[in-house]
Amino acid sequence: MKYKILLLVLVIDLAILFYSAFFGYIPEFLPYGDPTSYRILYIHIPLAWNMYFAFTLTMVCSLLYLLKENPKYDVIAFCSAVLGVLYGGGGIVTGMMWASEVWKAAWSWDPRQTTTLIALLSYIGYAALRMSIADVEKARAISSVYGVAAYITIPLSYISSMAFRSLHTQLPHQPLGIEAYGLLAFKVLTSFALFIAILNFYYSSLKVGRG
Amino acid sequence: MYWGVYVSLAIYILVVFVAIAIGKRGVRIEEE
Repeated sequence: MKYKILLLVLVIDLAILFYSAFFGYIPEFLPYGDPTSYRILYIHIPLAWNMYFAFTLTMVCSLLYLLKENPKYDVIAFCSAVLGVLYGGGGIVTGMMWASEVWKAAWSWDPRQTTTLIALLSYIGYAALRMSIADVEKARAISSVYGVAAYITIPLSYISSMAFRSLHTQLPHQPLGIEAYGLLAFKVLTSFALFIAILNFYYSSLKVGRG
Repeated sequence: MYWGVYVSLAIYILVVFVAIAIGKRGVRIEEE
């Protein structure tokens, strides 16, 4: 059953992905680059928002583990952090593709790029910490505290483009029509559904053993 | 079309399939 749900959501998401990448709305004129580069937004935004969601879920589940000491919360927190790192890595690279064309530099230590990289490294640290402690109870407790503390990097990443001088534009300021926002919202929704399906798939593939 | 769109498309597909592969491998929980 979990395979069928995952496959269905995957097919829908990939269909929307290809449609938006090849036929998604683009502005007719862009003064600072190829207008087709706008189609990256349909790919970059779902990846970035899923990363924010994943790390928020890690923080919430870490907090729940600390409060209730139920191991399932720790496992969900870990699975979500691993997926968040993957999606975040994808978000950073696709953002670099956009920046390469529109900002004329793939990496410019922009506040958004820098703070998102810090967030990503923090959660790589979370996963490494959790896997490096041999004592199970200790690993769960310490990584949960870290999972809550590391969350400070997420609002920092989100507000960085507004609080500091940043090249990163805000979505409402884009020269996009209602069709584009509709397609983007649909793409974010299918991408989010796929993330949940993968997380469920990951969580339900629990194995008990050493190492 | 701008080449970065193709790269981004490939990155998205890579992320999704790597995530599924990790999910298939599952989480190994140590025996207590």
